[in-house]
Amino acid sequence: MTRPARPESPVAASVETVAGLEAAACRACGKLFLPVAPVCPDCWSNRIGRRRLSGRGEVATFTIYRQAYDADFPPPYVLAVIALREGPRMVSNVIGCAPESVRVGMKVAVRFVARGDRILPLFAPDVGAADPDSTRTDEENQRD
Amino acid sequence: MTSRQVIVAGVGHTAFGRLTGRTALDLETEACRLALRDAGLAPGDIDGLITDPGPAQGVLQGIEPHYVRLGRTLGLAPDFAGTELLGGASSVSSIQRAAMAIGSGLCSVCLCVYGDMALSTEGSFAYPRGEEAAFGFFGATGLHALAARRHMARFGTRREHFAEVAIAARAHAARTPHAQLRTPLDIDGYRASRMIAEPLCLADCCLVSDGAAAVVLCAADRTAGLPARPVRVLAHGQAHSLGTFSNPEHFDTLPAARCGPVTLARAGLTAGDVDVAMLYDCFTIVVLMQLEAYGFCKPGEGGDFVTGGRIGPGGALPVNPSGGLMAEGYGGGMLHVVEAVRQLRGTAEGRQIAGAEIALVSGHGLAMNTHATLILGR
Repeated sequence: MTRPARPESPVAASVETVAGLEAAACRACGKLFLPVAPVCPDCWSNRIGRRRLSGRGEVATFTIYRQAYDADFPPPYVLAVIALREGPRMVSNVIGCAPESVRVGMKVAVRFVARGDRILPLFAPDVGAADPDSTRTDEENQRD
Repeated sequence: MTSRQVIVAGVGHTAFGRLTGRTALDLETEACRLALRDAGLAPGDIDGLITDPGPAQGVLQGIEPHYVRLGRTLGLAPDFAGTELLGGASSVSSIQRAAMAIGSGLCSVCLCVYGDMALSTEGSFAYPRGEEAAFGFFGATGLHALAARRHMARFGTRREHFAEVAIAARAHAARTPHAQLRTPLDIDGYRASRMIAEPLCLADCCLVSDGAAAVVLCAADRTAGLPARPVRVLAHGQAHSLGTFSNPEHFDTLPAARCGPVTLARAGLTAGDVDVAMLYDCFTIVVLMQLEAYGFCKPGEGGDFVTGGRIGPGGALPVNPSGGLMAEGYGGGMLHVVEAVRQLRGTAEGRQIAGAEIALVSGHGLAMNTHATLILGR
């Protein structure tokens, strides 16, 4: 059986041209959604723009792949559904920590990572979110 | 729901396992021949054909749909035909489509067929999951692991609860002569099973099989003189959740929560009336989620429900008495229909559930998007 080619990620494609994570934003009803699509899934308006997101959220659920499926993805690695702070959820990877330390509800922040010839939005533990004053800027966090 | 009563007149299947040297077409024709013989009908009686090509054939259909290839080989010129595209819900939905066609008078004797060489076809279940394959999202196990992890986090469900489902399936299969995996499993064996995608280990996953199964549906007005005790189609239904993974409910509930209780009610029944539950068991977690969705227990209580062998042989609710996808063989869901019919006929021999009158058969497919429900009665 010939395996179908791996398609491009619209999530990934959308971030290659911008500095931060974006979601589709319906100009008619305000709905934010991912992945980017030509129509709003709530009101079917086709007036769709983009909105920059905070890049922060939490792990809604995850799995640790222990079996190898593809040479580009040696196990173990964490595949997760990330609930972004602004509402939309997306599938991604949790990196920057031991797979065994990932928990449902863990706070994460986006980290853009080059993978092959692409840049993908992955997520790492959000150290800043552990602080009660989570409104601090990244610059302030870096001083800690 | 239908104007004509629809009857299951015949069932048949091949061996399941690694069937080196066979082809899906070859297996499908064998299953059809057996089902037709069981029904006491002849090829010329068939005027409907609905097929489920299975996971490996499904992606290879190209411009020749599966039903065309099989129908041509069987020399059929049916009045109604098609191929289902609901993933693991396709076998049950093929029965539904046939029942609707017969009920509406479009055909009278419809063959429903599943067949595949999924075990002998490399990578049948290791496919990339659409755009998300960019993040290493492959196969069916990782997807269901996401649901399993949610269940554990929300309700305190433990791996021991998943183990109960796997152990019960293997105990059932030990009593099923044609089952692919008849060796018993205990909790130590479950714990020793290697992890695939945490929290799901190999023992949480169903089998991959070569094999075929077929079911003949017939209008009740055509069943005079047929040999087998008729099994009636009492009700059927579907529900789908076609949104993206962005839907916060996606990994928490199955579409079965919508079509399950509704379909039972359409037959004038509740979960408590079900004698034989043939639940699509691609992964242990899906059995727990369906027990909740159909109302056998409350949401979140699936783990407690299966504890203590309740769904095993001799339990209060035997689930998949033939062993199901986990141990009988991956029959797409058509083997679930076959076993329901045998139980209702009273011909399930060493695994017969005494006095079985009502059977529930479910199908679950794709990225947890599709669900189909079938209620059969004696």
